[in-house]
Amino acid sequence: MPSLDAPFAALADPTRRAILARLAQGEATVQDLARPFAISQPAISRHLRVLEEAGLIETRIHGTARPRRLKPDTMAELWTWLGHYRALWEDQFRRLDAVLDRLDDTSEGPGS
Amino acid sequence: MTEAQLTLDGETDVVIRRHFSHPPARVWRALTEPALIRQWLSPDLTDCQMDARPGGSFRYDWPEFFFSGPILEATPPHRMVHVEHFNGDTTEGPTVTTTLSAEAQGTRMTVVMRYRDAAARATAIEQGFTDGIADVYGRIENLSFPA
Repeated sequence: MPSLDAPFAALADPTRRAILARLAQGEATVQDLARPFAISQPAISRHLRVLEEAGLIETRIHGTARPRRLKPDTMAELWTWLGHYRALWEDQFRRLDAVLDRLDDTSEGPGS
Repeated sequence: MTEAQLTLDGETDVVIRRHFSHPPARVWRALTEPALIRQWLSPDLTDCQMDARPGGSFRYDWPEFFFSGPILEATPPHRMVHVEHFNGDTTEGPTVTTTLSAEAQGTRMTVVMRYRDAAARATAIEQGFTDGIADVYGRIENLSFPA
């Protein structure tokens, strides 16, 4: 099973999450991506490198331009994992709901 | 809408939020009384111990693994902090802070699981999912599914 350590670690940073949100609207160059942020282009480039190494984005070579875009497979895999994980919790919580409903029918406090 | 929400917070935290339509005192009982925990935690649980007091401990046993750890804080019915070790490995495992607050005649539960680092968190999510799947499908013979 491929490790998700790198993508999860990459997503920990709010600037990188903002970059992904921007790329979700379509591919963009480093200059495009740097514009809304109050940080330098080299700093953005470092974030992009982390995202690319984590498999979350890829670089398209288009003449002399190097636009970045999302790599949908890794993103989808992350959401799938998280979705399953959440579903396991939800299964537990539904059983907990049922336990709480039954507690309603018994006297308040077991005296133990 | 009561479905559980799961978020990754910062580098190390997994946060679960869920609404229950019963007051905190009742939710607290279900979270801390072994006879009640047994009814919801997992149908495969083989043993369940919980001493929800500061300095107490818990242990939940399945046929092939167990979770255990110390209770660091317990303030009924609002807050518990415990550490959760897997198979007795006390070098690993998140610190789990469970908060229950009254909300609209029910309870807002927030569970913050704080891992040592981002890698430990990712491993836990993968492991939790893998174990869960094994739990569900483990009894069905000759079934293959992607690992």
